[in-house]
Amino acid sequence: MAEVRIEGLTKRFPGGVQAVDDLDLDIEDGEFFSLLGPSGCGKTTLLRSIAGLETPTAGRISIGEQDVTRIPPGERDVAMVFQDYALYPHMEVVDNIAYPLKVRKHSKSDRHRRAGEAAESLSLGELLNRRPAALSGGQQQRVAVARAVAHEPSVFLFDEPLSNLDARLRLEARTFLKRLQGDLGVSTVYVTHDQSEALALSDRMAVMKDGRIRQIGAPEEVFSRPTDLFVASFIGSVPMNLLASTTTADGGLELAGQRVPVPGPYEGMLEPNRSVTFGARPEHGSLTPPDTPGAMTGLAVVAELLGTEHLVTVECGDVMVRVVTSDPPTPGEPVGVRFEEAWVLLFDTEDEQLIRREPAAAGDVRSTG
Amino acid sequence: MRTTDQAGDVEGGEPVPDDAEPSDEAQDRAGGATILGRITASGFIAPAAGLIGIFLIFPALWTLYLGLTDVRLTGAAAADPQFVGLDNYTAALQDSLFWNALVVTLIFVLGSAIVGQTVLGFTLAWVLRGWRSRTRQVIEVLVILAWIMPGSVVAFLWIAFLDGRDGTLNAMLPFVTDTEWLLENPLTSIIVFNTWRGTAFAMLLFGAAINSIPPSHLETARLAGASGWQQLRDVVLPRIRGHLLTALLLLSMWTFNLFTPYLLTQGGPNFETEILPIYVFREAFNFGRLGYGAAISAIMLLINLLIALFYIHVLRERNS
Ligand SMILES: Nc1ncnc2c1ncn2[C@@H]1O[C@H](COP(=O)(O)OP(=O)(O)OP(=O)(O)O)[C@@H](O)[C@H]1O
Ligand SMILES: [Mg+2]
Repeated sequence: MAEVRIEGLTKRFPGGVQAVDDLDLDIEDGEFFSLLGPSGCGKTTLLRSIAGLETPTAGRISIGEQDVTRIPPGERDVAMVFQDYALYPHMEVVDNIAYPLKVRKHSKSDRHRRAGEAAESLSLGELLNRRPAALSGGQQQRVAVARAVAHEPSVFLFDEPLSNLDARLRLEARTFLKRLQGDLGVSTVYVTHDQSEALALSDRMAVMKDGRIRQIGAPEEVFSRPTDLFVASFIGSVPMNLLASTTTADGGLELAGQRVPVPGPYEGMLEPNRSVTFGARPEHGSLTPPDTPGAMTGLAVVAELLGTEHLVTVECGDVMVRVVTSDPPTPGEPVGVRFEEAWVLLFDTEDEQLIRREPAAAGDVRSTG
Repeated sequence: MRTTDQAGDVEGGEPVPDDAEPSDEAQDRAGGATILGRITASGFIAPAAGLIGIFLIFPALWTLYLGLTDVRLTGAAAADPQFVGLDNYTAALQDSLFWNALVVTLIFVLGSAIVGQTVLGFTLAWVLRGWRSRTRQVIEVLVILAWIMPGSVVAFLWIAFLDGRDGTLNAMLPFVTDTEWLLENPLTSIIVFNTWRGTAFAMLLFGAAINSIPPSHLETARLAGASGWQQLRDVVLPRIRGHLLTALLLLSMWTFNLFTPYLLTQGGPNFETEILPIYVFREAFNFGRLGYGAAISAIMLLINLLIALFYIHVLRERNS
């Protein structure tokens, strides 16, 4: 068990792709940490650098007290679960799980005992003598995790381990992964591009883009207070409403040609005539009768069923606003839309950063929560 | 293994058993989906089947027949060969030079096909796997050049290379020598020669096999702390066993039937490099004993079959 410290890590591939760009990151001991970001943002590269499978162009990586930047993968005491699970087809499940122990020259009986224990904790007890080809995707995935567990590393590295499973299995696997990690207390770095996974599993998470970290924090914080427009648009299974607007001289906001009050938390902070982006999650909106003071008015266009609630799209002038409600209007009906002021976020349209009471300090983005 | 089966199916596909016919016709009538009727299909296959018959099967059968006669290149027995039964075969078994040729051939195959091409080719492929693509390409091109050059050209290059007085090898050696390599180490020379020639093919084959292993498999082993040797033993070899055996089979059979060493040593000195194909050539064309040569060829055919059966057996056993 150990913390992982990354300082100024840069990885440039031959051919000029800058996959990781001067990145700092601290992962605490025993923490479940997720790396989330769109495809190609450098998540895998960062993970592989921690494992020692990529040599950094610049920067330092330490695990526990030890600087491992120049240390080969086998001596870093990390275990990785790959997206394709990397099970050896010619070995039975028990030998697959015990392979890290075989490399370390444990006796056969010891290997099998410990592989059996790891398998038991992942409900694989019945399958020990099967070949990987005779397992379902979910079982293969658990074998891969069991192999990492049997390794007893100080850090787990997961690279999208659930992406080959179907939706239901993914939910199940998510739950046992979280419980297992809690039981073992091993620091874990988990790469995913599925935000619901990151939100559900992490103690803390980082959102990456173009080889840099855009925001680090607890999932609730990243979800409810994204610090820039990219994170705001990336997080959330229903995308956040991000509407161009301008402050007016009388302390209001002009939004889609209509006037709404500046949300409470921002009162008195904004000079007139400033371009801001109004951000609000559909979950924090509600429908009102048309022409209610302080609400925007428009025409309901579509209502989509989400399960228990509906996602309603309202056309206000030339912008689309989306709201989640349990009581959908009929399409074509004029409605008012209002968002809970406490949850509304305003971003500076120019630098795309969240507008805060104190100007953001330079290193704020990288703050460790 | 599976490919062999399929190949067998294709060959056996022409004389279709009669009971298959009604169902096919039923299919024709039912769906009208079969684009080619049986007759048209046979028509397409016929030329290929004919060529195989003319150029492969007929000569093989003809060789078997000749092996049972005393036919000679010239003279009375050329015009009117007599049937002599198994005389040629018993004569071969009593000829110490035949046994010499057999032993030399086995050493040649072992040294150049198995130890040389296979082991060296695999080692090269394994070592080059992690190299930067540029360097690797250059090396690969060089090695392939060695492979595609015509055998006669290569043979003369090697004669020049190994020559005692003006040879490149002696000039390269740090000490002064005028060793006539082809006379003093003839068998070693042709083994090295054939290794040099065939390693490229082996390397490409093994390189492709190694590349077929997902990188994550090797990386998992590396993360567990496995050394290069452990990765090879636990991950790579079990996985490409099939490729390995197939390559061994092909390389041994090709080497077994290779005649090119004749261009270097003519089988000499003192029969030290007289491999079976050279022995056949000498008996059949230098001494004119065509019937005897044909009998030895039949024996070689048999040995080829045995090699193939052995590998197929091992392959099947390991797969199950
Ligand atoms: N071996 C490599 N050589 C050259 N470029 C690479 C290599 N590996 C990755 N890259 C590039 O580096 C960038 C980051 O890749 P990376 O695999 O880390 O992305 P990712 O965030 O894991 O994406 P995904 O979600 O699709 O897996 C990409 O632009 C990719 O093309
Ligand atoms: Mg990736």
